[in-house]
Amino acid sequence: MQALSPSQIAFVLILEAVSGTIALLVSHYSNKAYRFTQQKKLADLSTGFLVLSAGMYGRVIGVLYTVIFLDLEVLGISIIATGFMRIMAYILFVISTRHTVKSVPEMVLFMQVPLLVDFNLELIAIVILIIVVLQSLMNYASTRSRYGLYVFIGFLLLLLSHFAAVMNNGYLISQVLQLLAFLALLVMLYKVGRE
Amino acid sequence: MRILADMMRAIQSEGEEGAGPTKILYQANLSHDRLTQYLEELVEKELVLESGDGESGRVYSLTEKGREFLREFVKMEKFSEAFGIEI
Repeated sequence: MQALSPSQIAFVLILEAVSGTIALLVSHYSNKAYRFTQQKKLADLSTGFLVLSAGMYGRVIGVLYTVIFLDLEVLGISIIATGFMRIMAYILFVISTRHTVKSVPEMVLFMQVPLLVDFNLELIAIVILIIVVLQSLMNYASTRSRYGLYVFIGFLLLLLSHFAAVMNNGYLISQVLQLLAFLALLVMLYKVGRE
Repeated sequence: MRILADMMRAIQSEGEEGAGPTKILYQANLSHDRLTQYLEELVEKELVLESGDGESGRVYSLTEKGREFLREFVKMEKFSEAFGIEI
């Protein structure tokens, strides 16, 4: 795992916050669709994206708290919590989608934090996400819907972001891939809205 | 929900003139009893307008509220289908 500089961490936090916001939008739209159709799977999907979004914001807040109060314990807790929340979210997806450098001490602190992920939780997330990606691929293959293609691309990029996260020097790439994944979902939402 | 939307699609496919009960029955693949029940529901919710006289002369057309409902349904349907969820 790579060590991140404070500026890189700031960049990662921005990407994470944007991804979390898009996840929140998808959750909102899923909930709106649930209220309209009363299809329970849409409620599960909405909860999944809400939990995912909460996990992302949790990690952003955890890192910011650590930067301000220099408390590594909080960072560790937020990373583990985010990992569990992601797994919860992905399980819900499986169920619902079946078919600036500040000061030297801080820099030293972050150099001691080699990663913002928990390796074991990432592996569990990957296994679950593989199922989600396969389901979305099967759905796209059967419906040939361009919206289904965006969802497949989104989940695939999300899976690739987890692979990148467990690789050496891959954390920044994983954040970019994660953002691209949510942008794919955002494009899908935008196009559906214009239907 | 799906049945109501299918009925409204059948009505919409007939354009401004509206659709008779038989046309809706076939296109939405419903029994006569269920058709009557759902048509009453659509009229009650002001999604569909009933016009014409007599059993055979009744014609149903979408209201503005009905057209808006159908547009929204199509969006929700596309969104759900993208995730492999049937509604």
